[in-house]
Amino acid sequence: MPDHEEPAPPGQPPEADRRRAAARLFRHARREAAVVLLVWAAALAWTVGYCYLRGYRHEPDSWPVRLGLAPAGEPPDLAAILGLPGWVFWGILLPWLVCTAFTFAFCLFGMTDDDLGTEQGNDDGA
Amino acid sequence: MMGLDLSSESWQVLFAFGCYLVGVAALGVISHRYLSRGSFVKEYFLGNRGLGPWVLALTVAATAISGGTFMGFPSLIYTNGWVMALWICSYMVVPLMSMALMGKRINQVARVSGAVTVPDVLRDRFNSPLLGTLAGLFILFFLVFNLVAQFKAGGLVLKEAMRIPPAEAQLVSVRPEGDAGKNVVLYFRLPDGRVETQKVPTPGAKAVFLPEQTRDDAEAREVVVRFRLGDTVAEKKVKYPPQRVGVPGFRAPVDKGYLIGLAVFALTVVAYTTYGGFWAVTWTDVLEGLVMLAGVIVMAVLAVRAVPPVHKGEPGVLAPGEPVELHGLAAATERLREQDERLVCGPGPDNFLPLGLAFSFFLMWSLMAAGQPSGMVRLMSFRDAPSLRRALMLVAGYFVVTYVSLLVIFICARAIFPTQYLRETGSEGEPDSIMPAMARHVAHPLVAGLLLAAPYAAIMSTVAAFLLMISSSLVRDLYQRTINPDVSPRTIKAISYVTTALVGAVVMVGAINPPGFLQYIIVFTGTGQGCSFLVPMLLGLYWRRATRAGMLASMLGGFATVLLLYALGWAESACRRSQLDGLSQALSWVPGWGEPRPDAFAPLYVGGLDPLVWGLAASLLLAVGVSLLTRPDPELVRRYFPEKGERGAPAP
Repeated sequence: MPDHEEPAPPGQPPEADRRRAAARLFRHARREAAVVLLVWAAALAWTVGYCYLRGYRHEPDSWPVRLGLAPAGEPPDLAAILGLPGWVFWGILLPWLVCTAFTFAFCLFGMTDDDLGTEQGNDDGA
Repeated sequence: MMGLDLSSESWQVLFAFGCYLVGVAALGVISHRYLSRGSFVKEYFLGNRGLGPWVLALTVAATAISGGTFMGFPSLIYTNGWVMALWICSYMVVPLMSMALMGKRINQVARVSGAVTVPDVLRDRFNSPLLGTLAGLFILFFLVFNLVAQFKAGGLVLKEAMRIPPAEAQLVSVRPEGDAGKNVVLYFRLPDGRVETQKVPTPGAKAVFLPEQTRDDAEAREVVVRFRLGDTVAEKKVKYPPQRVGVPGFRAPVDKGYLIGLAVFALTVVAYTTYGGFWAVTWTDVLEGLVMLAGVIVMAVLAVRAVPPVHKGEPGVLAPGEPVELHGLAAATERLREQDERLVCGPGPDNFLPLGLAFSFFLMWSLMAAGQPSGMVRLMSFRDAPSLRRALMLVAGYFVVTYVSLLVIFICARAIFPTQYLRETGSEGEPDSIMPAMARHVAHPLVAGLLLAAPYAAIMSTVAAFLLMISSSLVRDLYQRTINPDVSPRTIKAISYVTTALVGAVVMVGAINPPGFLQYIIVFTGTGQGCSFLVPMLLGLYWRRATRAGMLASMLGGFATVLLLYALGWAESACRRSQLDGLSQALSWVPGWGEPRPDAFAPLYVGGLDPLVWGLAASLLLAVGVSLLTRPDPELVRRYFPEKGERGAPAP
């Protein structure tokens, strides 16, 4: 890449503007990726954690019982909600709906419409 | 299909199927017209970065949903109950992980370099032909194996739609197999004099085979095998051997229904992919995605209505309080609880999903989806950022409807058919048949045909995408960019068509007599791709310090870790089978060695975790470690990481 600013091709923004737009996209994409990873980690912690503690059978000497996080024997959350066992409703269906709602909100208000840049480089002739 | 002795119901199912296939073929023909626009390679393999939101959404969704979603997953829900909701639930974040995590950035980088394929992106980002070639070879390695499994699933769905009657045969004898008595073997004499056997698993270790009560129904071409199980008698209906035909080059004759199904499937999907390229794949994805969505919604409604109500005279766990009558999904859940309480809580029957595997599966689906090259190439092909945003919303809605519907359908299936399709105590079929069985049970044959088109569509869309990926790896990554960069556009066009068709033909031949452990092959190839591509691509897009050496180490490390854990699993099975106690003893220090595994082809689950977790950990550690020990090329950093205040690009 040349160090000096090249004249822009006809009909295209100057090099400086293109690079500014590209830098902006990179910053936005990185921020959006960080948000996605946070949501992923939260969904992992809630679904696996809640379902394990409320929907699994635990032996009296298991760590969730010893720490007082879950009772021994029968899972505590089996009462049906909308036909689903309670632990499936609270541990999976509800977070799934929340994640879907978040995805909609993120798309509408969180993600930016950046310029993806113009096509360059090789094609049929490599 | 002349000469096939099919029922009128099967003909109606096939008619509905035929309508769908005509639609797919028409889209393939229309797509071919686009190939004359601009660059052939970009148009054939990438759609010239012109995907709008609807096409992008449905092609991402249809590619992510494969034959396993409609065949293997339902059978697991049927067998294991509600714990499967936890098994699959990471699809709640798959749209974000597979589209928003890298979407805009990978599209931008691909435009900067003019990349057409995923190996193109890696090769150009790090200016490394070695990295690009290695990526192309990995894609070839994984996808060819995966395609054999998908082709087999396609052949099986059509076989189920046709239901060709079994062969005319004569039952010779029924005997327990060996001393262990795990199976009962049925011996049949075929009209040509050959003897063929059918194995029936006994329903549990304590079951006793009852030869005097086993009955041969020659008219229905089935045998009713009975077992004593405690105080009760369990029975299993075993069909006579399927009709078989000889295939040149294959020693053993092949199931006639499967062969016809495979041939129709292969010819359709290979023809439209070859002729129409990327546009044919994406447009048929749209049709296939809509068929799948309509199929699962209709079937979920019909399934919920088909569950017999439960009259609870006594207050139950699921219905505390006064006596009630339960309907629909509530009745299904209650019926599961009555069958086996383990079906409504974790970890499910036979310790199916312990905590370590629940954690692993959450990582597996969400990270594997982000790391699949077939998904990445779709992110390189959308038109603009608004298309990505809108597509992401559509995919999120699509996944929640599809997966929740599938869970509901097959929970209801377990309530409707309590034991018939269980592998051990079934009386009619095996769990993989539950999807076609439910379609035929709850709907008119014409509607059942369209419902059966849903898994077929899922398999087709995955196969078409993978076929094009393999073709692009061979044509673009290996031939055009490595062997002959000066190839003419006319030649590359011819090579693209021939390669796509040839790969399809080779895979079809491989699927005529495929190996039996296909589900593990699909998981192995998906895991391998995720561990080989996710970290190098993610760091290549977002981390300035990522270096060529670091990404090579990362890709090789992820690949090698997954391969090693699978190979150790196979070795452990081989040691056990061949009673190589000395070797087994010598390797007993290996973590996970000797611990129970669900199948001989299953990998070692070190620390109770799936190989994906270890593969990704190795890939990430190597990527970061080796990159920090080496220096990135400043020219590449400047090209792919523009800063707003740098020279030549002054801040406003």
